[in-house]
Amino acid sequence: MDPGFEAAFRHFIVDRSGALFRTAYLLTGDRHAAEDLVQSALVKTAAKWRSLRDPAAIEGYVRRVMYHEQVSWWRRRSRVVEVSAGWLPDQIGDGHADVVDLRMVMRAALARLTPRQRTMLVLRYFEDLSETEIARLLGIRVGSVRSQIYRSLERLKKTAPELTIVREFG
Amino acid sequence: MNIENLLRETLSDMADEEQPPAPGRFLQVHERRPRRRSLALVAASAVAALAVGSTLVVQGLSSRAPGDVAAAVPSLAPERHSAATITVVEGMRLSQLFKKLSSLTGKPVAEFEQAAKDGTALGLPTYAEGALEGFALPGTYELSPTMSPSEILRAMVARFGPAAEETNLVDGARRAGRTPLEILTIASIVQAEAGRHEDMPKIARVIYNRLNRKMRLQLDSTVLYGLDKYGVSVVLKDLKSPSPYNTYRRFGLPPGPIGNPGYDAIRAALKPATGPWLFYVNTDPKQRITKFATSESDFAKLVEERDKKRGTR
Repeated sequence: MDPGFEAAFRHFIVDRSGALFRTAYLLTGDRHAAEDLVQSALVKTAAKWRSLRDPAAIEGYVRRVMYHEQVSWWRRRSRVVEVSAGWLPDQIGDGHADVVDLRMVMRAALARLTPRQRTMLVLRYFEDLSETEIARLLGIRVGSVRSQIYRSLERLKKTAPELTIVREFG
Repeated sequence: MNIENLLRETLSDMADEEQPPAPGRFLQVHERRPRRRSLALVAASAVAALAVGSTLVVQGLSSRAPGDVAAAVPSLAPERHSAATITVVEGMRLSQLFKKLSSLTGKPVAEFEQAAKDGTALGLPTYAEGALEGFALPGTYELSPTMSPSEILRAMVARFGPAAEETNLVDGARRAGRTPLEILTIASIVQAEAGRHEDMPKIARVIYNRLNRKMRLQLDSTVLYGLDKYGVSVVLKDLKSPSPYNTYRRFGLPPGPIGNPGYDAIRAALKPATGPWLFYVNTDPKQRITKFATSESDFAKLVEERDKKRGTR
């Protein structure tokens, strides 16, 4: 790796690893898995340094690796290992409709999505990417992104019917 | 508010809550004694995590033949993973871990037990006194088909080092007047006993208070470990067991960790809450509620509360 890239890469890590970690945490819902995801994406990005001469391109690449990895890697993981959601919806809520409770319900519902569904929602509603951008990043059709987001939202409502009453509070 | 806004707020809450590790964690350069670890393992398991600091990446990727690099760092194609992953759950015991590893790899449990015996090969710190329990850091590990039991366990121990550094285990132990192994032992008990993470520092406090007063710890989790059983409470016969982990009979800490604690439990063991408590009762296991008491009489009330709840269920 040439020293110029290495310096840029280090600078990038110091500067951006916090943000990458937060996204990774939302994607995985687990601190250890999030650290692994970031680390692994960084390693893979470092390997591509030749094609990443432009330091400005680093973040885009790292993120793309993270999203891809999440969508493929987690599918496998959930098959092989039990993943603890921490707590389940029946432990919380109890019909209180205040917003804090609803956020807890939302978390629990998120934990029950498939990794792909969860990734879609994080990209759309946390990273604020457009459907077109998501499609480009994951290499799938826009229509597919749209329908997956729609289905993921529907699934949230289905696993946590409390969430649908939010509407009534305008 | 509609569901999309609620989702936005929830995600942003979650992101704010989880403190990112220091960037050094991803940069860290480790100068350990050289261990034979294949680069493939490094790249594949995201590894030994923190050892992947720039040096390793830099040297690994520029000084090796290009073919090596290609093998080590797979492309973006989603189907590249031929490996399985294993998650070491917080508090997991080695006996559970070995069973899981055995079913994933098809190798007999005995091979993992054998590999666990060679503390030096695993890279255990000297204060581990050669025993692996407590030093397989919880987290997710990727296994490639070519990894030997020793390599798998080594990857888990490799992640313990940075965890010990981040929590300042060795210095913290010295300040507490304990050995690092004792702190880890306490952390493993805290991990096993706590229903919720926020209770961990208080449970650690109870353990310290009891040790300082020369009271027996009387902790079911240690007894169950000694008997290789699981559950939340022990029966009378178990309490008579001569095992060194029977803290109903013996004074002081058990001889070593009773599982593999995570960061929060290690931190709790190093920084217990302040308080006079000597008892706690899991009054509502379903809601994972733990209540703390200082006097025997308050303790008795908590036990009563728990039994009442059990009775009504």
